Amino acid sequence: MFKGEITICGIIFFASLYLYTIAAGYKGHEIYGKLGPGFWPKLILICMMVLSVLVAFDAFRARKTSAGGKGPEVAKSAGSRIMFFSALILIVAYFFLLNVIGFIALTPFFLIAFMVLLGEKSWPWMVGLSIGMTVLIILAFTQAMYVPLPRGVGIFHQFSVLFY
Amino acid sequence: MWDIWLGSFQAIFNVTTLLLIWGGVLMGCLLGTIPGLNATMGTALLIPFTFAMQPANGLALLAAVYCGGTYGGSISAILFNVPGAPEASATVFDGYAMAKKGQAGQALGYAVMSSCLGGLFSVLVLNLVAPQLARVALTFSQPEYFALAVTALTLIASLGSKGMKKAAISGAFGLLAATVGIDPLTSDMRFPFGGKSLIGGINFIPAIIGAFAVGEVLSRAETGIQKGEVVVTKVSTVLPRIRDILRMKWLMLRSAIIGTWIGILPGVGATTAAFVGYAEAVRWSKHPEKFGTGIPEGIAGPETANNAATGGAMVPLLTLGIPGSATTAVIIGGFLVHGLQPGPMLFLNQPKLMYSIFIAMYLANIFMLFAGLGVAKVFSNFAKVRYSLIGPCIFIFAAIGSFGIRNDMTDLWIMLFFGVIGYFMNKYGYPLAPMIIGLVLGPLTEVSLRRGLRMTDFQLAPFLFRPIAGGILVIAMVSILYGILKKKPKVTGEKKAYFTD
Repeated sequence: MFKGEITICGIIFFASLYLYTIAAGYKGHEIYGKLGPGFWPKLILICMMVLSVLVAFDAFRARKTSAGGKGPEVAKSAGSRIMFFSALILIVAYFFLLNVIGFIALTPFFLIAFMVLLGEKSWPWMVGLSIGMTVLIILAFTQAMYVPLPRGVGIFHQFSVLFY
Repeated sequence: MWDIWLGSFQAIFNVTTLLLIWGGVLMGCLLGTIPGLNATMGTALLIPFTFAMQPANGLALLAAVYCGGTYGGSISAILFNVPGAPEASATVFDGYAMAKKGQAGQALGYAVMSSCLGGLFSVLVLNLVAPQLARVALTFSQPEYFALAVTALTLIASLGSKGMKKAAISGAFGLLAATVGIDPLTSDMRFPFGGKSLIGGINFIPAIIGAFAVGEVLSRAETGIQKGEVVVTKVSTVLPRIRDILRMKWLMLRSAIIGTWIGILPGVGATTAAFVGYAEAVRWSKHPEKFGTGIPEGIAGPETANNAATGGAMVPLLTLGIPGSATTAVIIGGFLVHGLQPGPMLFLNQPKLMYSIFIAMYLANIFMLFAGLGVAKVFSNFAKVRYSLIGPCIFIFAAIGSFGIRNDMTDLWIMLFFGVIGYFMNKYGYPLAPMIIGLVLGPLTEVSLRRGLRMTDFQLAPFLFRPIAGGILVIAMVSILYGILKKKPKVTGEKKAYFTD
């Protein structure tokens, strides 16, 4: 946890520093005197850098006061990290494929994959719910709200036209 | 005045709107019941749907979800010892103890009755106070708006979070995210990151949906699915008798006032109200030692207060455009999708809409009473649905809801980005609410500061010498000092066991 805290603080600090250098370049339009477009972002970024240092300092202090007892947590975090990244990869893949395969052809498979990833074992529930959800969303979004859901390309496009 | 009320009644008393309010209450109760889901997430997920509705219908639905969700958390708190929402944390102490004694139905009855009365009281206050406050707010200038925005941000940092510094970082991140896109004063492009997709800034709704819904789904994917301890499976709500209510009239009135007042303070939500309501119920009781053993007063105190906070939290939202809680911050999205900016001008330009919201909230609280009579049994079954089935469904609703705002894939990526941010914030104890409030208040804070400084020839000190702006900034300072100096509450007995678990 300590390592994570420090890493997060480091990311906040250096990302803020990087963004500060960008914001420092916003010098145009001096008609507003000292308050150009970079004024407000720079103010926020300075606050974030200072606060990240203070949080890191707190983490160091907390580490000194509490000792030991982190073995099992580390063991748990290795497996759970895989779960997190698997879920993330699955979502990213879904977003990339959405415009290619289309909503109707892709979503049931995505839902089943996500349910399996979360540890679901009941196939009747998974299949039923994934198809049910896809139908519900298509009805709600395309019929009630007239939102054109992604149709995909080629054969997938033709397939989606059959439904909405 | 009467024609405004009449118009508002006409806007609400039709089959569609009444069904939407009823559905919103049910949905709120359902979301509140399931740990990990709450009214904030529910309203976030529903905003895209409200786009297709009349503004009055959409906002009535969101208000109903808010009211229902605040009560719903008490169902799982009483039945499973797991507060469905943070607002119901204090209800666990006596609610679950009553359920263990075989009085789950009675406990649910006290919870729903107190929630209803607390909610109605706060809407009455909202109804009476909001129009007057809006009139005062019309005299506000840039320094006053800047002071208000700062107060909202500082109250969140000092009261609504686990740690002040982390809450401040969270709020600052929200403020920073709000700067992406075209500068509102000079039209310069800021932080485009090499593309044109962010010219219009970060869309508020996908960001909220991502932070709350997707962040939670990712957190649950990592931690795995945990089942709550189920001791009661079949239950039906038993409403308390009138004489039981009268016996607790002062307790309920006190909690309702506390809840409404805490709700009005920007950034302090129903959770704080519930704990203060519980603490005051103990303090004023003739038998404080009985609290925690399963007594109705231990439910009525926090439940009246937390639902009273819902109406209270709507006061700054509707009168000043400043959210009073995380859920009301999300409800701003409901206004924005219809091109409405909550605040005093809305009272002037759309009074019927504002009074429609009041009526919808009255109805939502009354409907909640009837919903509570029969649905606890059904909801207790919903609470047992595995997250491995619900989680992906929530995600897909969130994704398509975000996409549906502008039919733009960029919004999906924004949602995912904020989902990942939300996940890490959850994991490392950075509260989400300040980020959302920062995102919401960012443009107002920046524009009012820069314009205000122009008015005062780039001097900040004159802000303090304006009576209203100075007064508000003093409140902000006091709240920061309170956040620094406050001590953690002492927790004993059953409550200690709950926190330890």
